Amino acid sequence: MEKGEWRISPYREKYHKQLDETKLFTIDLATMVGNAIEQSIKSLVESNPDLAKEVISGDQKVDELNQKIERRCMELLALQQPMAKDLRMIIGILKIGIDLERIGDLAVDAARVTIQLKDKPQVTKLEFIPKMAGIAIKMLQQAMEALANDDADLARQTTKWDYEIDGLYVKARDKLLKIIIEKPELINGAVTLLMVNRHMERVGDHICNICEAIVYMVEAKREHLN
Amino acid sequence: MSFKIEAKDLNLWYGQKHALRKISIGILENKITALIGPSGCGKSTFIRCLNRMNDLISTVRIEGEVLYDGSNIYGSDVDVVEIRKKIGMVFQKPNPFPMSIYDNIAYGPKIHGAKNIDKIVERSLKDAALWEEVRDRLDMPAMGLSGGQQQRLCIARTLAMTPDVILFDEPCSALDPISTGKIESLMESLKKKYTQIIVTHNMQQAARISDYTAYFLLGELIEVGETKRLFEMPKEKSTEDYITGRFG
Repeated sequence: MEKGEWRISPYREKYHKQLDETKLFTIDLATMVGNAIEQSIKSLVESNPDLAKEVISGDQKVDELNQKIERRCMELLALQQPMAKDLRMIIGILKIGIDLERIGDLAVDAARVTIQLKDKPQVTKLEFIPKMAGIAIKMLQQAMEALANDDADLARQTTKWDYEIDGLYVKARDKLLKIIIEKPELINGAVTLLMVNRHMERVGDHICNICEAIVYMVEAKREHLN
Repeated sequence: MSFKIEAKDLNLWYGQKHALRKISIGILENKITALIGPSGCGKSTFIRCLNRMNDLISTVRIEGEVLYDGSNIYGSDVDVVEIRKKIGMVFQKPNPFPMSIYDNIAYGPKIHGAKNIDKIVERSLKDAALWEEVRDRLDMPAMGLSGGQQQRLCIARTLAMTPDVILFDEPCSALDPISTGKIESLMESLKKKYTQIIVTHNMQQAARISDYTAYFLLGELIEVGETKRLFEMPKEKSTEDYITGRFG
């Protein structure tokens, strides 16, 4: 038998298509949670409880898609016994799914804060938290580009943005602590915003985890990028 | 770590066909090494070189060396029978002799003038994890055993010759999963005493049982390394394409 005479079985072809599809589902999931972050922070800035409710109800779709991805990964593991880069990809997709689902939950928590602060006096004009959310969304988009193109270097570069998020987190925290000290009547709202601030910082960490999973998928290296 | 067997620049031709190309590989003692690759890649041809089974094919020409404990088994003064005693082989299809279970095991040792044949039979069957199943019917025809039992009998027959190395050429391809599991756990227990090399088409089996894996393609050794590394992050694209089923 000479090289080139081998043919992939149709079952195996289907398996490879399913693998590619699983990656696309993950990118869809990332788009959904990216939108959820954007909308939840927008609802907070604009004090728009209707928009916040949309984010909260939309989380069900995030959970459903994540479960679909998990089921697909389990099926491929059980039926196809993936090896090497295929195995790494499935493991990576499962890990990424956990982080994306968590980001979705953090967006929901932030949206709940919008509803909670409705009719309450404004604590401050939000400055740093929307910036953090904006960077996180860019990071997520870039991480998905890295996933789509098997680009480990792009995944590594993406994690650098997390330093900016961390810097903004400290600024926002200090600003809110100052408000708590100077205007004790705003303590409830300020503490709630401190939580949102922390959530956005955690979103950056989750995206770093996603980037680590991408590096593992592509290069089989376990790097700590956060 | 010492190599029990080492091939150095091994070439083999079937007539004009160059079937093995400059194979160099070291097989570690008391480890299981799996040989994988598509049909016709040379893995069975290679394993048969390791106890000179290819000598039986008239058109075969071999160049290079196979060192067993440091000595070339293709040297001019080598006793081939002695080599095959030390490097036993188990084949794809169980092939018991048409005689009793006892005589299947006793056949080799008797020919070589061994004493205490009863003890050899018992020890070999115990080592092959078959003793408990056949101890009360040793005089029954071996052909009456199940496929899995027959294969373990063949392993016991090999063990009776007190080999150092056991070569397995797809030993489980004709067996059901339960019998396959028994052979695999037997191989694990044999690691303490023997160096084992297995040709298998079943990549999950290679991944499960072997310490090292070698990937062959078109008569060449493409990659060899620790099994867990090779199946998680193969170095060669060709290896990755094969183990992920993207060959074509």
